[in-house]
Amino acid sequence: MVNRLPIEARGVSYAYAPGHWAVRNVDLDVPAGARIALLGANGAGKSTLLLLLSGAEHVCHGEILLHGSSAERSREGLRRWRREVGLLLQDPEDQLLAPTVEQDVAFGPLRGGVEEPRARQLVERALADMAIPHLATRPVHELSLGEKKRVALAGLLVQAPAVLLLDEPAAGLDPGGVRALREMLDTLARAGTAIIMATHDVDFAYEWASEVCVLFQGGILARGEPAEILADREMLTHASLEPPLLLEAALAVGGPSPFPRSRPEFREWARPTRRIAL
Amino acid sequence: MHVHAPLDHIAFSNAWRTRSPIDKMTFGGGLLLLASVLPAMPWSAAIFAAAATATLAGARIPVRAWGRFLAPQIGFLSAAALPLILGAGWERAAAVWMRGVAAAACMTLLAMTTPVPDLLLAARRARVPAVLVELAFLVYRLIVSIWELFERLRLGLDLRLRGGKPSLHAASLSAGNLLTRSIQKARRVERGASLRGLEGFPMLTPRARTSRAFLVSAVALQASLLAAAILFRSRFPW
Repeated sequence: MVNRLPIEARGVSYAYAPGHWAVRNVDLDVPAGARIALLGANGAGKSTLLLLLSGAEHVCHGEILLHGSSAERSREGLRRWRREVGLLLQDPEDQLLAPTVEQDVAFGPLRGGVEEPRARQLVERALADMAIPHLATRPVHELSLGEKKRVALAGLLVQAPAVLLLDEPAAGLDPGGVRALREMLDTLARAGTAIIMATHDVDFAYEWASEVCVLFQGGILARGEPAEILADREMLTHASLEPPLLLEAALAVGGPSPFPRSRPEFREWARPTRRIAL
Repeated sequence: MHVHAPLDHIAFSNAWRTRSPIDKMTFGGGLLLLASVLPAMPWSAAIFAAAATATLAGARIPVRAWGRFLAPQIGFLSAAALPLILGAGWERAAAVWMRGVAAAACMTLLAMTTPVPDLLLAARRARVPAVLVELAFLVYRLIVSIWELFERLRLGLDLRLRGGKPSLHAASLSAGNLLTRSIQKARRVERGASLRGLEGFPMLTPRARTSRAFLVSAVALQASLLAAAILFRSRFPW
């Protein structure tokens, strides 16, 4: 049977210096359309794992598989890797290369050999999807952090990667920006893009993810359904995390499962029995 | 917070932003050429007036920003003209000074209306080797990033000093910090470039098109200045 998982990690380990393991023996299977949240404290290995999955760093042990085949680090192999897997860095400024927004978003298609008229169409669509067509001719260094994140994301989405890796994408965004980000990620996941997000934000992870993966000292401490994993207070405390507020409130009030994962769900869940005066 | 170099900001936001660099280079470059060949009096004053009008009324650049950018250049030219007074006399020094100021106004027009990336794209279309243009693009991005870092560090220092003057020790610590962070930034940008598979820098063709009407007007103005200079040659000798 052909393995069609867009990306897998098999026994992946990485050390920045001899003996200092940032990632230890991580196995991760990521099906198409998955929404995986990597949770963990600072230094838990989230960002490093994303760098390994993106091909930016070379694994010390283990291997990364793309669509079932071992990802190669040859020139052609890396090109394929970049096409298949897009990574949004924590500071988007680090990956914006061109002087203006449209030039930066066009970089990927043009480098991939797309003709200019088609590249312009793709850029316009990507900017519209990110709700930033008005920024097209602006210089990237004059944008706010949230705008830079959207531009960097547009630069990834314009290439339609099979796997999208996001390092703290909601950090620095206002509530409207977070809502727009979540809607965009939901659309991508429904279209089959596998999304892996590293975050500290347990509330966001609880609401958005189909699966959470808690990292501790470079290894996977727990993995599974958000409602199950994030209810384990003892494990979360060990990993220097806290349970999501909505889940904690629902558990404190008591009531039927499944527990609500978003504010609207919480309102609906609490209303029938007037558990809480809303 | 986002900070940026004032000149760069003006170059990106003026009324001539969408005008083709060829239009601007024809206008500013032509006037610059005239400033260097026509008699200083009165033609340098006319060239200065034309460049100033184009900058302030055409490109709608604020007078204050224009003055702030031009003043150091005029200061430098004035300082250079002083020894010339002793060596070559008043008239010669004044002529050199006037030519210099007119040329500075022409260069200011180009610098304040044309962002660096537009110039680099024009250079690419003029068949300057791609590797040089791509290198210049990356250097430009790095300079802008380091400028932002510098502004942040300066703000941080100001806040810690509560408006006081920084000591030599504090200033040198900040300079060291800027250097370290610039190197870190360069490494992160290198990683970002590698992540995006930077092997050459393909760019979209700029949307700005040359305007025939503008080019004709620019050349007509320059031709009029040249014709007037020839006509009044006996009164204002070359």
